[in-house]
Amino acid sequence: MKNKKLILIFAVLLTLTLSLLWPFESEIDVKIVEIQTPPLGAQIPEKLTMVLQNNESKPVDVWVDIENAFVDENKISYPTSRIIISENSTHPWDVDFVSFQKPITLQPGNNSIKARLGYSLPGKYELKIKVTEDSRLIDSASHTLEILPPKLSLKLEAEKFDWPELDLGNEVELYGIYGYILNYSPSRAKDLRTNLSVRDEKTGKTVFTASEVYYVEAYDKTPLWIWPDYPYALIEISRSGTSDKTYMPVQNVIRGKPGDVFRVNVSSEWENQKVFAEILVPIAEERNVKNEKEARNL
Amino acid sequence: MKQKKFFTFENAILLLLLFFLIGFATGCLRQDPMEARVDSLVEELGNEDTNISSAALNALIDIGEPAVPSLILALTAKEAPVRERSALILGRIEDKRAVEALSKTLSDPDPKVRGAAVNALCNIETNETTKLLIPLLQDEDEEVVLLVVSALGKLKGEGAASALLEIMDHDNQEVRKNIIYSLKQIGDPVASEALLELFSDKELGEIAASAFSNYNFMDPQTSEILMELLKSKDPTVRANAVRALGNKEDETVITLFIKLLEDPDSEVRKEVIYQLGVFGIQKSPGVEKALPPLIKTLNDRDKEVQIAAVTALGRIGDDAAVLPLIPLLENKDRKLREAAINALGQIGDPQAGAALRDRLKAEELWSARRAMIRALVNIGDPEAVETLITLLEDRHYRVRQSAAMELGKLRAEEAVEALLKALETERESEVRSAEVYALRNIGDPRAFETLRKISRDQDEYYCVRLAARESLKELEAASPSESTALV
Repeated sequence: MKNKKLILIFAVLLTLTLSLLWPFESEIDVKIVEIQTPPLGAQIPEKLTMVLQNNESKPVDVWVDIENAFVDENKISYPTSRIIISENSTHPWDVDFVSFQKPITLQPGNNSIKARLGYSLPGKYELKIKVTEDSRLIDSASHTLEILPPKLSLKLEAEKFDWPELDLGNEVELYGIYGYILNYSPSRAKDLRTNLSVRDEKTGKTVFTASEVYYVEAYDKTPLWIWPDYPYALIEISRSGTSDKTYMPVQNVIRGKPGDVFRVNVSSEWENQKVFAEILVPIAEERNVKNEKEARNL
Repeated sequence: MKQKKFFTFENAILLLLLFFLIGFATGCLRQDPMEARVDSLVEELGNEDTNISSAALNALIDIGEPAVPSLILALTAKEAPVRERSALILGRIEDKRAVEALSKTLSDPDPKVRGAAVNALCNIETNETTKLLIPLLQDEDEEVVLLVVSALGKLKGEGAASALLEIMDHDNQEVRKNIIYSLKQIGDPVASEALLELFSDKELGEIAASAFSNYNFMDPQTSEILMELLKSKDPTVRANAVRALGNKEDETVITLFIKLLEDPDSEVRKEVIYQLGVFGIQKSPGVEKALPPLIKTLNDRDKEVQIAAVTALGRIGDDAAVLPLIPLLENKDRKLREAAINALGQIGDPQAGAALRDRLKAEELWSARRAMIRALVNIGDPEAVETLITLLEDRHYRVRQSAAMELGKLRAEEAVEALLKALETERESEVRSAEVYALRNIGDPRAFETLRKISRDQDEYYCVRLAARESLKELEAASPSESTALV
């Protein structure tokens, strides 16, 4: 009876040892040794570079999953669908597009892998990278990313505008207003609600308002014009102050009399960021020249 | 009787043993991760959310070969979208193991599934594919018929042309059009007669004529018939015969076409002129004979015929056309004016330089001014650079852009100061980029400082900053001493 018990205990111990050791016996030695990301911007796809070190003496097949590779405007996260892998560190130019739906073959040594990333909104995101082999986790790593918000600025310029095709003669003077939205950040800014407001400096009344939606790319500037080469707004100075001339494609036309001064204000809004710029038209230098001429004539 | 105890030590040990053995066996027999992934993706093919079903579809295409057995099984799934998407994926994977199952799917009750199977079989392409698809030309669903027609054209299999001819009188005009396209692709001479019969059809005649660009149709007998059709009373037939014969580079054809320049129908005249222009590009022997009659056609009563004649003269490229074309630079019709500018540029005779420059000042149409820039450069006008420099201040940005680009191509060193000055005031990003690239092409060290400033200016357009960076890199590599001297 005692022998029977001893045999049973021995069998149990043997089975236990086998069961516990089995999952580890074929585990491969692969490590995530490096993770790098360039400065990332919202709505601009970028690439993450990671180095997977295969310490085995033969090529091994692993699965790579990256959580939070893409996050949409509703904060829903998607894994990346494709990665780029170089064969090994000695031939980094030998790259190939590899689907995430298949295992990746890692050559012995360092393997550089690039994966696409994209985020709709600025903020902090934590990437979780998992390397698995036949559903067994081999290595994992986390990497925190910061997506900077757009850094916006507005710039306004005004100058006398010549429109020879319209044959305006001497009775009408035109001032063209040009504006730009500038972005000094790696993030793209969409849906920029931009308001134009023009005030008569003498009366203090707002004489014109308009609104338009723009977008500006990362580290770029967007002109506010509707048609290239034409100003964002025109100020027409005529004797009557109520000319019926049209200046298409310019839609923002403010009409005034000689001596009128207009304060042009443009503001642009993105999320909770608001920028604005202001300019007086005609600009001070021109007003001074005009005043001098008028004084001389008197 | 003594009751046997179940919870004995031995039984407990045996149960434990059994538990570990089952665990061990489950570990050994668990599903391959690839198979598991394929199965879950196939299941998602039927998801109502198209984002999910599309993602699954793309993932299965990515997986490829290992997904084929599961996809073959999915061709018999209950849900039609799963069957349709499975057929689509199998077509993209192009694995011959799927042919048999896809052939059965051709009789699927859902037309979308049948259509997907047609496309898939066409992609996989075996010797039997044409034979398998021909019966579906009688399918009750017109979309399926359209897919089969296109597939037969791509496959070019035996018997396809005859089968297509049998349904040439199909009720659906789209199907008929596609039959002609497929017949053209197949190029089986058996279709010649049917195609010629379509020449009187106002909608299909032109497509049928274009089929003769496949040389398989152009045997001596068909050529004879086509030449006879030039005498047809129906102008549509004559115009289509011209279109078909335009594929035959032959002096006899050119002679016949010249005669047709007097045709009473303007469509026929226009088509003849167009084909003569094509012969001009190909430098076909005998095309020079067409010059005097084409020049005469510049006075045709139909404006479109005139424009076609100007274009053809440009394509033939003979200097004899220059003087008759110059007066057209003043024509009131903008299309005719632009055609004349382009033609003069193509001919490339310096005689036209002065006339183009004179006209440039008065020309109101920006596209015509831009065409003049190209023409002046093409003809190698000695005063082109000077003219282009003045155009850097043109009122239209496309003209300024073209002027800058051409100055760069000409590597005009005398334009450097003007380009640098233009960069001080130019507002348009595409023009600024063109000016930067022009400075790079010219490669003058005077541009280094400005380019460096632009490359660092955060208030500059991104594309211009990038253009300046690239340009600087190239220029510095070309003359390192100049660049370091200016840093």
